[in-house]
Amino acid sequence: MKLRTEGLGKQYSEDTWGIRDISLEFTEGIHGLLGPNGAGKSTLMNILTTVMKPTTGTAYWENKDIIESPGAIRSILGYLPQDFGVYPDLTLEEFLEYMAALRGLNSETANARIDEMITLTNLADVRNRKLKTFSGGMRQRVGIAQALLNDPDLLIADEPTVGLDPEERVRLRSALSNTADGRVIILSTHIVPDVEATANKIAILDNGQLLTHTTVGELINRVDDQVFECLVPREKLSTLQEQYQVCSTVQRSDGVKVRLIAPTPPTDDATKVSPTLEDAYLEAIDQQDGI
Amino acid sequence: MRRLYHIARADFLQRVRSRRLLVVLAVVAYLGFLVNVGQIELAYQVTDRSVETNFHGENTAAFIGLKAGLTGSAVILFGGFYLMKNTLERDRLYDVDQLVVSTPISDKTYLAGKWLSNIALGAVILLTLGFATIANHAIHGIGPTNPVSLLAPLFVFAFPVCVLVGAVSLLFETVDRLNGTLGNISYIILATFSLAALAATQNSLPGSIPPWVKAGDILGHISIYNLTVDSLLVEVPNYSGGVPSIGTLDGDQTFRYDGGSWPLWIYFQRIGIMVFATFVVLAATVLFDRTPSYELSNSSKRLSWVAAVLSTVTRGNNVDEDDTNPQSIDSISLTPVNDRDSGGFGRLLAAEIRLALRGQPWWWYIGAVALIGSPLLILANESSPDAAVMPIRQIALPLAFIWPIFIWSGMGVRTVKHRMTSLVLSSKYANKQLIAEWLAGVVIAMGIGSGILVLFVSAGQPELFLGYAGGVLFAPSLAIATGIWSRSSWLFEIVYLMIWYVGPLNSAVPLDFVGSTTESIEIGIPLVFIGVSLVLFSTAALRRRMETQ
Repeated sequence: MKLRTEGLGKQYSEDTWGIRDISLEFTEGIHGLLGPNGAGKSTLMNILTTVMKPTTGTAYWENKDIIESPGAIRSILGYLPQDFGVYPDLTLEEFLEYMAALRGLNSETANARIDEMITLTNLADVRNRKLKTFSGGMRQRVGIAQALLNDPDLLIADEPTVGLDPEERVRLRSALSNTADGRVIILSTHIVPDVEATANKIAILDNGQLLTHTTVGELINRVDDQVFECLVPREKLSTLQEQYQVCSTVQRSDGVKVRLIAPTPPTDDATKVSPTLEDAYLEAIDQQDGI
Repeated sequence: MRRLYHIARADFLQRVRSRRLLVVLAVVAYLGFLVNVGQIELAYQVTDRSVETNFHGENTAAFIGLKAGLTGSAVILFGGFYLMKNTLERDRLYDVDQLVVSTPISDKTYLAGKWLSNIALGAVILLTLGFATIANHAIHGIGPTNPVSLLAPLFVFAFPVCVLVGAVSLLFETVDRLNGTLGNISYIILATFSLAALAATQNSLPGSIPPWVKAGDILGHISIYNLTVDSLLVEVPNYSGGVPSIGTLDGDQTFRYDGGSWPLWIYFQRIGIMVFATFVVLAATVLFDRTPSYELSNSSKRLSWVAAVLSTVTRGNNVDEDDTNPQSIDSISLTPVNDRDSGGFGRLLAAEIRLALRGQPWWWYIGAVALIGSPLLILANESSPDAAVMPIRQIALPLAFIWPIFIWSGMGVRTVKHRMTSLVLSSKYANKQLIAEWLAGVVIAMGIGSGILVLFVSAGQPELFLGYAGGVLFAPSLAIATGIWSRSSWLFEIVYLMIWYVGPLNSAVPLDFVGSTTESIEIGIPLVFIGVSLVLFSTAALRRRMETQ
């Protein structure tokens, strides 16, 4: 199974591009799509789910052009949009029945999958409650349930963990990892730990352009031996921020503990630490902004 | 004042940057053209020995100004409400209400700002009409193109209507029960009844019209009568009285009105309308609840309370989702899905019907049951079904095709309203969903009209089935076409209500698509509407096809 894009671009106005010249290949497994707000992640998602047409380029699912023939992808697609709603006067079960009919499931399979998805998303106690009584986090889980309902070969989830409490976030990550075999999952988010915990490969977008598409390990290796932690007086923090990519700061009584990326130790007492995906991601974005 | 200005300004800018307003202004400009070149006439209908003659005013600047003023008033009275009635809804839709509630802005300031925005929107419409009036008079009119003569009536007559309609629409938005289809229907009835006082002017010259009738003259019709009747009397000295009619009125008899001073009572009467509007806004501030939209309404709270009590009784207190231990992910086995093309159109249709029927107020369901049951009850009690047919045709038949407007209003816009568009359009059956949504509207119309159909068949008058079919197909088709193209339900509601009011309710044969009159059945009016329905549905299907390809 493979989803491939060739030179995808979306132009919103004469000088505004949502994404530009995106060529990617998503194979089986979980692909994290990272980028700051406004990077073009949702635009790419909308095009891949056939909700939006690209201005340039095209995309293929198993070598079928999905821009020309959107039906090729809709039957195997599970989609969780970033900004989605529900029909408030339907119960959870009725809503999933509706989505199952829209996704082309027969009633027997639909009933079985609905039960399983309700259990998976931990909503069994509220299956007969109207959706208008659901909290934001519960609605997000409804979105996840409907996206997995048709056992999709291609699952595209835009910010799936937004609004979930830590326990549910961990549960969702486990669910995605357990169901990743034999399907392509594209997970768009700006929460790096979500991707770090689940993704095999990562694509980073910034300003509508693809910065990289590589494995988590390879991306982290790019900043190997370049991540340091040091304790500095508060007044020196701004100087460090101007010189280096600061990944995090922790306020302490004796100063500020700074984690940063630098080619050489930034201070005499700086210690080298193991890089994380977040370090690598920030470095990638920083390099793009510096161009 | 600064806060007031910024509330009004932000709301107004949001409005004037929408494409919907451009379409409205284009229609208004076209109306201005029709007013000036004579297709829309303001004429006195003089009857002499059963012969009716229309006396038109010559297209002087003064007379064209009066026509534009009356047209502007009518456009704002009937159309302005539906354009203005979204000022609070927009804040709710985009969650601005949640920001407003946390600010120190008072309810009065907030609503006054919204009212000013409504008035400004109306003023833009009037300016467009005024510009069209001046331009068209310069080309087609008689005598000098005097801008003051052309524009003054527009603002004396139509501007107070803007102020009033802006206030009423605000009031309707602040009352939960009126902030929807029920309010839209109520308003059109209210607006129509506001013109009822004109009936008191029949066979009366302006001097003998009671002051209370003049005070309630919202459009300015009686004022225009007062201003122009002397010019008519020059041509028709024995005219017995009555306000001039407006519409497409034939005839080549004319009178000439060149303007002159206006009596003071006209100005006071127009100011009175604006003062009344101020009280309407004050009433709105009393009723306004600035609680954000995610809070439940009172009725929902009551229902939730009942549901909570019932749950407690049946299951103890374990209703919170987090009280139970979730099943481990690893222990859940998932059924593989091999067939994702199982048709299932029947289930989709059933789901759409369920979706459409959900969420109506309790009295709607009682009314629907009454409409289904009453023809059957009458049939059971009448010795002859034929005797029951006529009252059912004249009363129950029009009612049966207005009651489901609460359902039809959501058609074509439900996915947008509930932010379901991405999910529907990315699904396999996006096109079938539209068909199912349309069929759901048709099925519900058939259901509510089923008692009437049984009566018609029992009476041995199957030809009446044609009207039934016209009603069943036309409304859902109009709803889904206007909904999917305009992305809102107001267009359907205003167009359908107008057609229903004039046609089935008032027995105007050309618009009687349900066959409430014998003549409409004989000349096949419902058949025409069935054809129109198919065209309308095709345009909706075309739109969905554009969305999915």
